[in-house]
Amino acid sequence: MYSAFYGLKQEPFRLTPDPRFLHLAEPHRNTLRAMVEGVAARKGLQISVGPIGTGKTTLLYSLQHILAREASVQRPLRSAFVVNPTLTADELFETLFDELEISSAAGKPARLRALHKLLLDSHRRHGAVVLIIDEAHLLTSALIEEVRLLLNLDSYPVNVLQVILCGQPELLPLLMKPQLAALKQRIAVVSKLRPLTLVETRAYIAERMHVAGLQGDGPFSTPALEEIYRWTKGVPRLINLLCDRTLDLGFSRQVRKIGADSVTEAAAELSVAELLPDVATAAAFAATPLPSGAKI
Amino acid sequence: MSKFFNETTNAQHTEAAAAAPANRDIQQLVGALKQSLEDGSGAPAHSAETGLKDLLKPLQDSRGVAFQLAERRLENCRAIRLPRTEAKSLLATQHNPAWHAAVEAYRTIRTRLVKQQTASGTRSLVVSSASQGEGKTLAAFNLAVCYSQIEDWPVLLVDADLRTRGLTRLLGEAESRGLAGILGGDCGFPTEVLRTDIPDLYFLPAGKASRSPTELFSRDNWKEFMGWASETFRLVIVDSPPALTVSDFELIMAHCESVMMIVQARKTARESLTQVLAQVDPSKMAGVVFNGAEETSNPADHRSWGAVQPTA
Repeated sequence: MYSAFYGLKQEPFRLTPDPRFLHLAEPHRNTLRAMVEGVAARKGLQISVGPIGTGKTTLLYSLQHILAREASVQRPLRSAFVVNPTLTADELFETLFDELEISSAAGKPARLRALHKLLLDSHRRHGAVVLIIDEAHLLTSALIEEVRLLLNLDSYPVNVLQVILCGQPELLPLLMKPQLAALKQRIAVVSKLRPLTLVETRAYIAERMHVAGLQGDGPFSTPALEEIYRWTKGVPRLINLLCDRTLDLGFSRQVRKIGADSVTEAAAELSVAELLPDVATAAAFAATPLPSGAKI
Repeated sequence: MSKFFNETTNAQHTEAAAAAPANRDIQQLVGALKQSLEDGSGAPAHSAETGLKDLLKPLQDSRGVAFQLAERRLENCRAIRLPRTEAKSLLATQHNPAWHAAVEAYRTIRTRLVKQQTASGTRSLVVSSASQGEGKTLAAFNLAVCYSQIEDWPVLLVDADLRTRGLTRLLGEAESRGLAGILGGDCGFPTEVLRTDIPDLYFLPAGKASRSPTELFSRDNWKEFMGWASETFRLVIVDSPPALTVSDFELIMAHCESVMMIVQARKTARESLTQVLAQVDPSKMAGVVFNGAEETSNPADHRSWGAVQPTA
């Protein structure tokens, strides 16, 4: 609606979701790069943590898009994406097999054999099997132990099985429990997602406007950009939401240069404050150092 | 790939085809990727190196958006050739083995700062010192050159010392209304920024201030400029006046995200340093460089040119 008015070829904050990684902000690009490199280098177990709304699920989705490029008949790359891990061990296996699109007889030994066969086949063809678990902070200790045992199954010179555990910051203390020491030793990469800074928020908005076809100056004034940051605290999902609504509002009033007041009004309409994750926790989390050996 | 992924991807392709995206740029940019996603036949040949390179290509394309943005904003800026006569000052541009240790020290500082900057997301760095003549201008310049040597890191070096204009003089008094012009509101941002002959290194000279620098830095134009510059460049390095002698420093720092202090061996008084550090918001303090210490006999010891000590 507002696109033509602001000199855009399309709506910058509602772009088609297909090439999502094109619209990632800098810190997200870095995290995604670390993940892809981790899988490509067959590192084994990777952990990724970030507060609510920082784009973890989008990132995992982008990761699969990128990994799909590597998959070929000659070099198979299979992945299983577990979105909701509040499961029993049996259900986890069921989900895993369903996701990998392989079948086996019922019962754990038969399933482990089938999985082993898949790993062996992938290994022979220089492929990999990637298990991605989202919301991994919801995993029970028993289930985490199952994941570790799965990693034990992989006894090839290079790790064929790649596991990525992604979740909210609570995941880290969960993994630090003494009874999970064996798993902790296997963690090869830890990455941390954080909300954007004010400058990153500005750059993110500028990049999206550019991709949407903006030629000259952007419609947001500096006070408007500061107000967007103040309301969203740099959470990309909220930035998209608020920018889109603000441009709509600006267009309905025929305002070329948008001021802070329009942002405030759009934020109130959308009740952005209620959508904001716990920012105090997010900020404290951003400031905490990562465990040793961690990347990003 | 996983069943969940395959199903969602197929659903999205159907939606995307129905919506017929209007933006040709995006289509071109991701054309190759889509091809391989859709028919599965575009999978690349697999040696380990080309495999990883191919895998990371979409991310490079994504980084490319930031580049395109910078290129478009800077397409009209003028190009200059930096002087090479002040050989020792411009050491990071030279290949003289005698300065190897010094250049290495700058690279070490850069590496430590990059690590901090990637974690914290800062894109601007003020370089200052307690008083005049402690080596901040040279440090700012050499550090900027080291940053520009990182692939994909366009850097802007700003001479914000409108009083002595040390960096502008060092780099040959290139013609530009400079920062003073921008702060005075006389000109646009991209027209005054100069593209140097060092790839990815841009320079904004001081210009000639017609009013008091303190008054100029108090204006909103400084904030506006830093906002524009940090959007455009991966890093903006600001060579600032000394922190203790004039009040410009605090005004400059207000719209920058991090600060690096230079301490000169046998020159900077301990009290001055304490006083300066008390002025800086601790969350902005990137580190302190100890500059100009004696050469040691150990060739691996680069303290002669300093190293950053992160304080946070």
